[in-house]
Amino acid sequence: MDMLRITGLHKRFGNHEVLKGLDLSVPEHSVFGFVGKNGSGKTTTMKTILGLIKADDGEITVAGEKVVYGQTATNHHIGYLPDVPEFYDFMKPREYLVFCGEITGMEKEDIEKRADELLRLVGLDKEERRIKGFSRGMKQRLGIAQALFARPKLLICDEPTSALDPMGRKEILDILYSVRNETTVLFSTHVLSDVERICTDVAFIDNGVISIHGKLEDLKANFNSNEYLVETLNESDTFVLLEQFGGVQIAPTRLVFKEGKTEIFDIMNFIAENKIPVVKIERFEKTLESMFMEVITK
Amino acid sequence: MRALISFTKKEFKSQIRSAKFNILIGLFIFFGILNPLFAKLIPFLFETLEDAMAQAGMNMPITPASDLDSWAQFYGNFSLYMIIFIIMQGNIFTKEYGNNTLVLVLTKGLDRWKVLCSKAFMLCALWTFYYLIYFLATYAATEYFFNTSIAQNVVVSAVYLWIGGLWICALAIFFSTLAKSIGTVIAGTLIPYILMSIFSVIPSIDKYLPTSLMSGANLIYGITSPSDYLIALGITVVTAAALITASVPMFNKKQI
Repeated sequence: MDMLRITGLHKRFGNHEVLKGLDLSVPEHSVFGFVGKNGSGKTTTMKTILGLIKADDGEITVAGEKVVYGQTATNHHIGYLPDVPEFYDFMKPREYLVFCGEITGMEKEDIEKRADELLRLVGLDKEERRIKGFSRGMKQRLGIAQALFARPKLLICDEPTSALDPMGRKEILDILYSVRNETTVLFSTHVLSDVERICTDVAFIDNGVISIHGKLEDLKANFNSNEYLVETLNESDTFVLLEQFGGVQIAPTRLVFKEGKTEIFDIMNFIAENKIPVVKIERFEKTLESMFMEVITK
Repeated sequence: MRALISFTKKEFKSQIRSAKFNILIGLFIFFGILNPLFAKLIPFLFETLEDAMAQAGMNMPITPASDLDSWAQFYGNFSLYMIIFIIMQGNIFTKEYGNNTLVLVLTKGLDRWKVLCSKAFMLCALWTFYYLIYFLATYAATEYFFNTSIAQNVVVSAVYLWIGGLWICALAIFFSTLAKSIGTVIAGTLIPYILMSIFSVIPSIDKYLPTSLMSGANLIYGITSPSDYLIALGITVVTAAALITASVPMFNKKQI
C-alpha cells in the first residue's frame, strides 16, 4: 500500500512554475529519499502535502485520505520536521512535547510515557534548559521527537541534516533509521551519501517533475552503465584516444568512457598496439551522485 | 476541546513568561494613577501661572479639581493607551507568522479555527486585564486624592469604553488574518478607529459609531444617559462579531 500518493501536482508562483505535473508514490514502511537540487520544488511539494500551500492542480492522498488546503485532517497521520524547526522558545523540551501531545488529542498517561521515551531517544532527557538556549542540532533532535510524538503513519523531514555538522548529521540519520519500523519516512535532501546510507527508496525531482523513482537497489542495478577511467601519461595521447573512441575528458590526461557505448577491450588493444603509456585504467560503479548529476545536467 | 484549552494555556504561558507582560502592568498602573494626579496638578499649574496670565490680559477662573476632572483625564488619555496596547500586543499572530512557530502546530492537525479562537480570546482577555488595572488604578487614586463624587455613570461609561476596546481588538484580529506584518495590522486597526473619530464630529453619524462608546466624558458629566448609546452598542457588538466571523475563512485560506 502507498502511504503517500501524488498525481499531476502543479504549482506556480507568479511566472515561475515550480511543479509541472509531479507524480510520486511512497510505499508504506519505506525510508524514502526525495532528492533534488536547491529550488527544484522539494519544499513546495512537502508543504503542499501538509496543506500549507495550495496546489494549482493535482491530487494528494495520505493514508488513502485526500489532502485539502487549509484543512488539517490528513495531518493527523503526519509528523513533520521542517529544515529549521521553530518552537515556542519559552518552553522546556518536555513541556513542548506535552503540548504537542495535548493538541493532537492523546491521553495524559500516554503523553507522559511518550515524552519520556522520545526525549531518551533523541538524547534530551536530562535537558532542563528552555528551548531558547538550544543549539541547532538540539533543536533538530527535538524536532524529530515532536514529529514522532503522535506515532504518525508518515514522517516528513525537509532537509533534516543540511545545516548540521558531521556529528549532528550522524545522530539525526541514526534516529531516522531507527524509526523505520514504526513509520514511513519521507525526507528531502541534496546530500546523496545520506540517501545511500538509510534509504530504501528514492526519487529525483528535477525541473518540477520526478525524473527517476524506485527502490534504491533496483535503480542501482538498472543503471548498469558503469564507467571506465583511463589516465594517460601524456596529454597528446589523451587526444588520440578521444578522437578514436569519444568519451568525456575530465582532466588533461583523464578520459571517462561509458560501459556499453565503448568496449574497454578495444581501447586496451589500441593502447597496446600503439604503445601508449598509461598511468591507470579503472572501472567504477555508477554512484547515486553520478545518477543525480546525469539527471540534473540532462 | 482539549486542543483548544491546551493552545490557550500556551498563549497564557507565553504572555506570563514575557517581560512585556510585567512592563504593561506597570505602565497601566502608572497611567491609571497619572489621571487623578494630573487633575490635581492642573489647578496648581494655573495658580502659578495666574500672575503672568493676568499681565498678558488673560483671565482664567480657577475652579478646585474634583473626581470629575480625574475621570475626564481617564477618557481623554484612553486613545493613547489603546494605541500602546495595540502596538505591544497586536503581534499576537504576526509574531508566530514571522517565527514559523505555527507550522509545527498546524501540521499536527490542530484546526485553524481553534488557533484563531485561542488568540482572539487571549487578545480580548489581555485587553480586559490591562483595562481593569487602568480603571482600578484610576478609581483607587481618585478616591485617594479627591473627596468628591460628582462624576456620574462611572461604571457604565467604563463598561462602554471596555466594549469599545474589544471592538478595536476585533479589528486587530481581522487584520492579523489578512496581513503578515505587525505594521499592517496596526495600520489596519487604527485607521478605521481614527476615521470614525473624525466622522464622530457629525452628530447625526456619531450615535451609530462604535467610537461614540469611547467618548464617555459626556456620560460622566451627565450630558448624556447610558440609553443614548444603545444603537452604537448594538452596532459595535454586531460589527465585532462580523469581524471575528469573517476572520475564520480568511485564516483558513492564509498561507503559513
